[in-house]
Formats: sequence, C-alpha cells, structure tokens
Amino acid sequence: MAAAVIYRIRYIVCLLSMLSLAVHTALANEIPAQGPFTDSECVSCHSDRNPELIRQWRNGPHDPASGVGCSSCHGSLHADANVKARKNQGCTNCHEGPASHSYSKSKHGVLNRIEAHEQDWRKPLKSGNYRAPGSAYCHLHDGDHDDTMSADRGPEVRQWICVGCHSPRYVREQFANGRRQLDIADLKLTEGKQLIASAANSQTKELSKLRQSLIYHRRNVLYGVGHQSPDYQWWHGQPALDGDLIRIRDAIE
Amino acid sequence: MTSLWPIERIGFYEGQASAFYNVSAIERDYFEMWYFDNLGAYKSAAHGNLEGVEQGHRKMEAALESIGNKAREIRDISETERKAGIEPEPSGLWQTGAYTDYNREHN
Ligand code: HEC
Ligand code: HEC
Ligand code: HEC
Ligand code: HEC
Repeated sequence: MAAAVIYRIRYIVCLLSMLSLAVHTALANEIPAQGPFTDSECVSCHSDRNPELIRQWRNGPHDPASGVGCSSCHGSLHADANVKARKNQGCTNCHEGPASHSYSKSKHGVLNRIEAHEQDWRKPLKSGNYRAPGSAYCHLHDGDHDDTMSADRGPEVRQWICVGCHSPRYVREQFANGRRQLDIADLKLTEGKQLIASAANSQTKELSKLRQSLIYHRRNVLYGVGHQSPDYQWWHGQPALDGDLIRIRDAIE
Repeated sequence: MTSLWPIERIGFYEGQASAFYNVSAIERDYFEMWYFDNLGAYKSAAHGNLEGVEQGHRKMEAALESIGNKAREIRDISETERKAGIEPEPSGLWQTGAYTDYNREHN
C-alpha cells in the first residue's frame, strides 16, 4: 500500500518534470517577439542561437559588404519571415536582368510562377516539399545562408540538388551538355579576344564595345546552362557570340 | 558506353555554328533584322500584341537605315578601289581562330 502511494507520487513527479521540460523547450524555441527589429538586432540575437547560419551569411554573396541584411530577404518582422524569403519575388526585387530573366523563362521558372498560389511556402526548401525549384530553393537550399550553387563548391553539390527531383542519369547528361556548351562559348571568347588583340588599334570605341559584348554573351550562356534556359543557351548566348565574332572581324578588316 | 560508341553531337546541342555564321557583318545585320525584328512584329500581329508590332517596326526602321548607310559606305569603298585599280586581297582573317579551327572538324 505505502509502496504503491510512493510509486504514484514518483510517477506524478516524473510526469510533472517532463511536462515542465517540454514547456521550457517550447518557450526557448518560441519566437520571442514580432519585431520590428533592426538588422543588427537580428544578427546579434541569431548569432547566439545559430552561429553557423550567421557565419554562412558573412562568407556568402550577401555578406555585410554587399549591403544585404537579414531584413532585405525576411522583412523586419518575424511573422512570415521565412515565407517571404522563400518566394522568388524577394530575390527579383534586387536581381533583375539576365540572371533572373533567364530563370523566369526556364521550365522551372514558368512552373514556379503559375503554381505559386498552390504551393505551401511554409515548408522548408528541401527535396519533396516543392515541385519546381525557385531561386532560393537552389541558392539558399535547406537554410543555407551562403550560395549553395557557388562554383567553388564543385558540380557535385549542384547535381545533388537536381537529383532530389530528377534521375541521376538525366542530371549527369544535362551537366555534360552544359560543360560542352561552356567549352564552345570559351573558344568563341578566346577567338574574339585574340582577334581584338591582333588589331592595328585595339583601343577603338567600337572594339571595346564588341569586347564587352563578348563577355556579356558568354555570361548569357552560363545563365542559360545554369538555369536550364534554352533561350539563353541559344539566342542570347551562342548565336549572339557568333554575331560578335563576325562584327569584330568586320571592324578590324 | 560513349567510349565504345562515340556519338558526334552537332550544331544546336553543343552550341556550334548557328545559321548565318559564315557571312559578312552587313548580312548578319540583315539576318537579325529579319529574324528578330520582322518575326517579332509578325508574331505580335498574329497574337494581337499591338505594342510588339510597333516595337518590331521601330527596330526594323532603325536597322534599315543602318544597313542602308553601311551599304553605301561599302559601295563607295569598292568604287574608289575600282577607280584606283586596287584588287582587294583576301586575307586569312576569316579562316582561323580558336573556335573557327575547332568548328571545321566538329560541325
Ligand atoms: C531577441 C532575439 C531575436 C531577434 C532580435 C530576432 N529573432 Fe528571429 N528568431 C528568434 C527566435 C527565438 C526564433 C525561433 C527559434 C529559432 O528558429 O531559432 C526566431 C526565428 C526566426 C526565423 C524562423 C521563423 C520560422 O518560422 O521558423 C526567422 C526567419 C527569423 N527569426 C529571422 C529574423 C530576422 C530577419 C530578424 C530581424 C528582422 C530576427 N529574426 C530578429 C529570435 C530573434
Ligand atoms: C538572400 C536572402 C536571405 C538573407 C540575406 C537572409 N536570409 Fe535567412 N533565410 C532565407 C531563406 C530563403 C530561408 C528559408 C530556408 C529554407 O526554407 O530552407 C531562410 C531561413 C532563415 C531561418 C530559418 C532557418 C531554419 O533552418 O529554419 C533563420 C533563423 C534565418 N533565415 C535568419 C536569418 C538572419 C538572422 C539573417 C541575417 C543575418 C538572414 N536570415 C539573412 C533567406 C535569407
Ligand atoms: C537587397 C537586395 C538583394 C536581395 C533581396 C537578394 N540579393 Fe542576391 N545579391 C545582392 C547583392 C548586392 C549581391 C552581390 C553582388 C552581386 O554579385 O550581384 C548578391 C549576390 C547574389 C548571388 C551571387 C551572384 C554571383 O554572381 O556570384 C546570388 C546567387 C544571389 N545573390 C541570389 C539571391 C537569391 C536566391 C535571393 C533571394 C532568396 C537574393 N539573392 C536576394 C542583392 C540582393
Ligand atoms: C524541386 C524539384 C526540381 C529540382 C530541384 C530540379 N528540377 Fe528540373 N524540373 C522539375 C520539374 C517539375 C520539371 C518539369 C517537368 C515537365 O513537366 O516536363 C523540370 C524540368 C527540367 C528541365 C526541362 C525539361 C524539358 O523537357 O524542357 C530540365 C533541363 C531540368 N529540369 C534540369 C534540371 C537541373 C539541371 C536541375 C538542377 C540544377 C533541376 N532540374 C532541378 C523539377 C525540378
């Protein structure tokens, strides 16, 4: 009898302590206030909570020197902070021109746009949660605050992201094709630069404009390959480089 | 597999020589006028996009003027050379280069 009472008391104590632990954990993870916060408040509070995230942000393209702070993507309030950052609109506010145009003309971009209202943007940017990848899905994958697609991480990381949705063989073939496209584009760039260097006067306004044009169109090929955007691989890329070579020769002849 | 059975890919797939590559600059200007500005205007008309039609025609007019000026320039040079009895000497300029050399074997 006494043993049973003691057992019950111990049982209740145990339950209570578990409950208090659960409440404590919940409180620790509860978003403390809605804000608004300044960028330095975001950084200092989140540095304590997740130093790795802050380290990634400091090492990435949106580091303090770029002038992009937490609130540029998340807004200054906690409400919907993640939802806001995951949508393409947040990125395209700053990234206009070929970088975002090439993406928006790709199949991924079109799907992402026409199905935006059906997508549950509360879900983390991980495989299985999204049908077609948006800008942040690839570049800030799974909470990454550096650039997941950065060239210096090597092609394996990028292929791994694609394989979340496509078959490995398909992805390998896309990457091999992309590599060949860029090799060809580089041959064109080299030819153009050498032609300009061989000109009697390589400093003319016309030739420096054409040199810029070569670099611009080479980058379009890269955007086309990276964003799986046929119009950029092709019209804005390869044939545009061909046109540059013709015009360079015409200018120096 | 590809080492046993090499597949030579051509043209579009790797981004090699496009239409109107092997032409002079003035012909290339005409190609772009015809392809982008003209087709742009025509497709805009077919799809009821007034702004696209106007833009296409604006660009075609600008291209026409520029091509006309260049054509006059080229004819003038040719005429001057003819009068002076100068025979234009073909140079190797159009025949070599990193991409042009590669393209000869792989297109
Ligand atoms: C006083 C501390 C504090 C400040 C200041 C603060 N946060 Fe938070 N934030 C938290 C806590 C606590 C959480 C919830 C637990 C977690 O995810 O780490 C959180 C969660 C988040 C989340 C995830 C939300 C979710 O739905 O999962 C984002 C995004 C975020 N904060 C961004 C910001 C931004 C941007 C700012 C500045 C405008 C900011 N925070 C300012 C403490 C803070
Ligand atoms: C370039 C845009 C961008 C910037 C700048 C940015 N974030 Fe984020 N952040 C995102 C995106 C997108 C997500 C959603 C990631 C996901 O769903 O996997 C996110 C997620 C988060 C989360 C939730 C992480 C998780 O694993 O749940 C926190 C917390 C956060 N950001 C805090 C910050 C803080 C603090 C800063 C400033 C130092 C910052 N962010 C700057 C885009 C950004
Ligand atoms: C407040 C403006 C701003 C917002 C919002 C923003 N960016 Fe940026 N981003 C920049 C600036 C500035 C740079 C650094 C300069 C540059 O490379 O263009 C940059 C650089 C980048 C780079 C590196 C580009 C390179 O050539 O290496 C990527 C990738 C990128 N941003 C992706 C994103 C994505 C994805 C989002 C949305 C989640 C986003 N950005 C939101 C301003 C912004
Ligand atoms: C979140 C899922 C997802 C991710 C990640 C993803 N894709 Fe896709 N991709 C799709 C969907 C869905 C389609 C459209 C398929 C369809 O309906 O034809 C598509 C279409 C494509 C197409 C166009 C195919 C066509 O018929 O025009 C290419 C090429 C492609 N993806 C390559 C890639 C590459 C390369 C990556 C990695 C850089 C990647 N994808 C990452 C979901 C994804």
